Order: sequence, then structure tokens, then C-alpha cells
Amino acid sequence: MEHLIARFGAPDREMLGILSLPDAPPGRAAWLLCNPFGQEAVRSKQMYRILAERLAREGCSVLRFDFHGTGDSPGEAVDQSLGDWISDLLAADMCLRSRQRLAAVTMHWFGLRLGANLAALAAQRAPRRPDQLLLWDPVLSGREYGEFLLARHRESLSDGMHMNWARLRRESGEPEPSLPGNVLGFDVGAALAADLVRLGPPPLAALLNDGLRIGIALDPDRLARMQLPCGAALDPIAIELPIDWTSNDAYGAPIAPQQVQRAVLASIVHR
Amino acid sequence: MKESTVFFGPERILIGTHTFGDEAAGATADLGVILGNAGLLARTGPHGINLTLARALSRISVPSLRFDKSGVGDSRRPSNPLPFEQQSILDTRLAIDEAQARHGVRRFVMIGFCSGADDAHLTALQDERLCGLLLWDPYIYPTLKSRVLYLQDRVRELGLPGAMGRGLRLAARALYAQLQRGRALALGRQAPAPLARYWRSYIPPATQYAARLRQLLDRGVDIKIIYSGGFPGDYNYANQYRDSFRGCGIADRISCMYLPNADHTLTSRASQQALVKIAVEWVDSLRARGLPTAAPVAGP
Repeated sequence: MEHLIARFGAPDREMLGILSLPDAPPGRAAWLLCNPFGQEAVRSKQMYRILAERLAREGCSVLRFDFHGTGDSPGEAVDQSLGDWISDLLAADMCLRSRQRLAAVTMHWFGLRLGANLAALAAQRAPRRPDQLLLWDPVLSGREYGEFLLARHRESLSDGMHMNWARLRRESGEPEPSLPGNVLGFDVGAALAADLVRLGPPPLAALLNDGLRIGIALDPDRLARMQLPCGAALDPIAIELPIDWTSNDAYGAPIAPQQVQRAVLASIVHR
Repeated sequence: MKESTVFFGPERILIGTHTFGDEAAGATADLGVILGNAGLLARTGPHGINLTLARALSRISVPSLRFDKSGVGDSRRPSNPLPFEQQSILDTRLAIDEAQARHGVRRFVMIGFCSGADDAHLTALQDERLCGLLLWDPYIYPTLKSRVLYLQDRVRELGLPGAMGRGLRLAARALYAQLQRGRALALGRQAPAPLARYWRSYIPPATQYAARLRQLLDRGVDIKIIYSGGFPGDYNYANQYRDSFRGCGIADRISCMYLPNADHTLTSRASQQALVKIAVEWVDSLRARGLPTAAPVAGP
């Protein structure tokens, strides 16, 4: 197994990724792992590494990367939009395909939270579609996701300071978080905030019509409420242990849930 | 500002990101900064604080390396791992080697958050290239005054009956945990780990920690400690550090600050900005003052 630093993307949208390659090429499949946003990306970093290592051991080539303006990639977070990140994802896909001459192998995209939405949206625009999407705990409503981030910002500070939000505001002068603005320590610019308001659930029906195989993992309540399109190519997965990916600590929750690894490996076997 | 992410270490399994200014190629800095992990969070740090710090430091032409230690973030586990503490120290020394080779720097400071503060002071005890430490929420040693102040605060927040109820619940929980430990030991079983405090499973006695810091101070290491307002039950007034270490001969030799409006993980932009300003000014002052140059390097 080999791990390489990958720098790719247009000169004005450079990105940094880590390419994990199996010992014996050609690879069994290729996986593009798409990060979630902000603190969720920090908290899930280790899971992405473990997934990449596991997949590479199974004979797959894997690229995990930071979208432009996030993580270790250059750029300013405040300047980003969902459209920019969809373009980044397609550039990452090109990087993975070109670096490994993967024309013949199946291409899988995995995304967690907002990364799942980006993968689904990018799959609609991709000149070369992936064969399979695994969407883990995607955002079903961008408006609700924005509200969730704001709520988690308040809760995180309240928990961290051991006082309720009203008292924290009163005594510390803590500003009310807003979008656009800074939530959980990460900047959300005007373009991204506007995109989030418009963001809906992943376009499953359209993607299924295009012949993609899709795994979608949601907590049981949301899975029951969501009207999923029918089709053998759709694999609904009930998340066994919902995780708050915005937290700073595991608090007893697994760093890399076994269920995610099982689902990823199963999707290779079932092809 | 430029950034470069690299694998380093003998097995090339550790990963770190160099951040440095736009100086002419080949220019060497006289001081570098090491940024490690906070707990199990990746090298960008809680809410991205390491990233923000690294880029702020590059604006005053101070290079930094933020890195993931073995098994954390993007770094893999070594083939023959050492016990956790030893491995953390070794990984940090390898990060210093990498930064030294890259930037030609022989003097370093380390900024450590939470358990990263533990790694920082333990590494400094073994590696003289570390000449300065900025420790964010290192070990806390409550005092009688901090307990009384917290009790007053709880009564104010919850009322007397509410505060008494909360206190009784906490006391019952602590007693239950102690009984469980005692029972396990009596039956010859492995006792459950004590409840973690301050996001750690082990806190050394105050005298032991003070002795370590004294050793570093005697060597000329500049130590700056900052406590957040994130542990109001245990650290809640400006000079608590002096009271905690009264008689240990270190309190007057360490610059200690208390930021009551900042939480432990620096969630808000205001707390991040406050910390970055303090850190950048501190690093700049060290550079201007000139810290002792380390002895010829003995790598890990």
C-alpha cells in the first residue's frame, strides 16, 4: 500500500489530497471520499483515513481531499459556494482517474453529510459518471442544516462555558450566530449561505434514472419519513448509531463507525 | 503565505503541513512553531484553530508545522508502536526534526491545546530545541477559593435548592464510581478507569507537574499558560494558578492568563482571535528577545 500527497485543481483552485494505492495494480475499484463541512470535516478526518487504508488493503485506489478553502487546501473559506465545491469534486475525480489510469475500474464516490450532497449533485454534472454513490447521513434540507449549525454553535458554547445561552449572551456579550457568518469557528460566506437555503435532498430519482447505484444511510426516523424512489439500485441503510459529527470529542462514540466500513466494503463485494 | 503538506518520519507515516511566509527561497527563520493535535482531532485543530494560528504566524514570517501524531488524523500507526505517551513524544520530536530540516531553524516553540499541552511539556523535557511553550488549558488544580466561587455561582444560577440537588447528584455519582472501583479491586478484577477530568484520564499530582515545569524554567524555557473559562467548576479566577502552585517556586516565573469568555475548544471567532493575538505577540517577543540556542541536536 502506498500513500501519496496529491496536489491538483486549476491554478486558482488548488487542492490537497492523499492518494492511497493498493500494492498490486490495477486496482479493484476506485473511491473518491468527499469531506463534509467545517467542524464535521475535522471530526471525521480519522474515519476517512481508516476508510482509505481499509479500501486500499482491499485492492482499491482511494483519493481523499480537502475542498478549496477548507482544511489544508489553499483558499479562503468565506469565498466558497456549493457550485465551486462541485467543480472541485469533479477535478478530484479527474485527478483520481488520470493518476491511476482507472478507465476500466468501477468508480465509487462516498460522501458524509454535506459531502454526500456535493457528491450527488456533482454526479449529475459529471462528464464521466461514477458507478456508485454511497451517501452517508446527507443533508435533506439546506435551510434546516443551516439552523442545525447555528443551534450547535449555541449548544457548543453553552456546554463549553457551562451556562445557558441567554446568560452567556448577557454576561459574555457573545453575539448571536448567523448565516452568512462564523459558525463553530468556520466562515460561511454569502454565496454558500444562499446556496444552503436552496439546497434540497440529494436528487436520487434522477440519478437512479441515469443508471447509478446508490446507497443512502440515514437515521431510522428520517429514513422512515423520507419518500425514497423505488428501484433495486437503491440501497437504504438505517444508521445504527447516529453520531454528532460537529462535536470535538467522541464521548464514547466510535471515531470510525464499523457500520460505515461494513457498508463501504459491502458495496465493493456486491458489484 | 505558502503551505506544503508532507509525509515525514522514518516510516513516512506521519503527516504535517508547513506554513511559511513569502520570503526568498533559502531564507532561514530563527524560530519555528510546532502545532500538535488536541485530543483526537486532526491537525487543523478544534474549530480550525491550528490552521488560523499557522497562517497568522506566517504573516510575521514565522514558519510552523502542524502535524498529526501516530494514529490521529491523517497519520498512520507505526509498525512497532511505543506506549502512548512515549509515542507522542517521539512523534513530536520527529516533527521538530522535519521542521528543522525544512526551515533551518534550531529553536522552536510549541503551542499545545488540552492534551497537546501535555505532549508539549513532556517533549520539552527531552528535547532542548523546544525553547518556549504556550499551553492552553493544561492540567488544572482546583483551590478552596475556586470551589467556593463555583458554589456561589451555582446558587446564583440554580437557586439554593437547585444547587444542592445538583451537588448531591454529583456526589452520589462520584461515590458510586468509587464503590465500583473498590468492588472491582476487592474481586481481583481490573478496576474501571477513573472518570476523565478536563478531557484527560490522568492528571499528575500538582507537585510532580510543578517539578517538571521548574526543570524547564531552569533550562531557560519560556512558558506561557492560558486557561479558558471552560472549566468554571475548577478554574475560575485570574490568579488561581499562583494559589495552586504556592510554595512550588514556579508561579512568579510563568506568565499565566485567564480568558473567562473563551471556551475550552475555542468555538467562537472572538475567542480564536484573542488567542491568536496573544500567541503571535508572544512568539514575536520571543524572537526579538532571543531564546537560548539549543545544544547540538540529538534527534529522537
